[in-house]
Amino acid sequence: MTRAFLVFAVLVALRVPAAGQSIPRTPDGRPDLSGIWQAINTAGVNILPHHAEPDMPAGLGVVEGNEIPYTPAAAAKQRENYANRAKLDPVNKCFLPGVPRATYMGFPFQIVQTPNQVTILYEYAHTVRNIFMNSPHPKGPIEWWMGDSRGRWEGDTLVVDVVHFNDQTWFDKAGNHHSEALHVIERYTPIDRDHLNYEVTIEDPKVFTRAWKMSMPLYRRIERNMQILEYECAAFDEAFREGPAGR
Amino acid sequence: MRQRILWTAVAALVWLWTAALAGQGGRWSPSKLADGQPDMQGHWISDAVGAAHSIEDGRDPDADIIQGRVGEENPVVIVAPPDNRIPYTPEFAKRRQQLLRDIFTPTRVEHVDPHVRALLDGVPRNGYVPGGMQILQAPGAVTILYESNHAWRFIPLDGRPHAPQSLKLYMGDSRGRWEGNTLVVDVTNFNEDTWLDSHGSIHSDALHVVERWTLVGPNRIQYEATLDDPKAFTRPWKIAFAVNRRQEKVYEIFEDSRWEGERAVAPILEVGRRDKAAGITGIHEHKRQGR
Repeated sequence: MTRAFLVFAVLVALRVPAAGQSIPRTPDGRPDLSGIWQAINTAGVNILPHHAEPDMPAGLGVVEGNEIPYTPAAAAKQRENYANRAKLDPVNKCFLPGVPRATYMGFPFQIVQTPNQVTILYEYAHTVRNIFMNSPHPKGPIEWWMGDSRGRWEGDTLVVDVVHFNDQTWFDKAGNHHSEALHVIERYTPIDRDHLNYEVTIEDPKVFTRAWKMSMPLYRRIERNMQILEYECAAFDEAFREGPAGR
Repeated sequence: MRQRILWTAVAALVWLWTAALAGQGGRWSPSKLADGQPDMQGHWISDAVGAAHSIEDGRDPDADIIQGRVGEENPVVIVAPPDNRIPYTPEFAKRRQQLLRDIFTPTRVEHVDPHVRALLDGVPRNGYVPGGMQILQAPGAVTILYESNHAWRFIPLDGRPHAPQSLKLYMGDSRGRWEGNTLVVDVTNFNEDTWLDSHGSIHSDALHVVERWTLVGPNRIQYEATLDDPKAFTRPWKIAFAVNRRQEKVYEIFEDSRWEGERAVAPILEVGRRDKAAGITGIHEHKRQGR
């Protein structure tokens, strides 16, 4: 009897998370990822380790092993992109940023979670992604800027499989690139109430010699009055096109 | 035996009739979500697409000739005032007349419809431009995903105040509440850069829109919006139209990446500037039958 009680007590103690924080859950027991999140790093500048440039802080990078396994031709293309990045970066033309770049550009985004569809609303250029749960990708060929996202739960991790990209988006301002054969697997795992771990696997046999990974924490924006606003980039770019520089 | 069959048939007819009545809003009431919200989720499309061309006059009569729609019903969405015209203040009536001349010979981007320029359409215009919308209801909020230009609105229902008035947004700042089966959305904080249609129907940054989305049947929302703007309008005015559930069994919103493919504005301005330089002027207008 005493022994049984002890075992019970130990089990209860183990069940309580160390920090006293449990993750929010939906009525069906899944982690509730609803809320406004933001990455706090410099991956938007360069996903690899990089020194500072004017208006751009240095950073340790978010790529596992600090190396992107480009084929020789793809590595040359990255160097060319980097050299001409002010002109060639699709985000400098206000184009949709692609996945996973939308996550770590430095803008907040909001997760709206329902059982069959998880939608992510991004502040940058009113970008949106609909992640359809437990359903197959449509048959291609389709080339979308933000790809086609299908989700499933693996334990407490939301796993999102994304295909059907175009070859126009970059991973960062440093010209890291991919082809339309890009396959992204995102894993959103709650660490506690206000933090998610975000891990991304990148595959693209036309550009990389093997699959590679990025990972970073995502932070909840806990301000009481926090809301996603607008970064209507096209309006800025239109003014630029019309101005003396554009014509 | 024969009588029994007859009574069964009568009972079936009565059941069908009451079911049909319920569908028209008689006794029908929507199911409720876990947080108590009436369930308005799904894919919807408004029947007011003509308003995207002109909120006062409906579809473009020239397009009707091309599309073989001459003589078809062309309902106008303005229900008040009864003359279906926007009650502009003298100053805004003048500005709008000038804009209609500038639309005829556009020389600056501001003379081109913001929708063509791939900018956000704003509220209520996003509800009647071509392309439908999906409504999602996670607890405590309503999210509207518009197919056109991948626009969206997140409408909190928790009674929080609007963002500071000095903050201006294309889509405005939406706050919602449920009154029975009606979602009432108060929208403020607009900038001056959106038009209400392609006919240069402008407003100021004092625009205040109150929308009423009423679930009247399993497949229909009755939509009403009151537009108030003390700088631009002499009094509030009102639009109304139906929003119907899409009947496709499975529907997923496509990516409508508008800006990425925008190639229309440059030639529009080129022609406008050339015409203006050649001394060509005019006003953008159509003759509507019966006016």
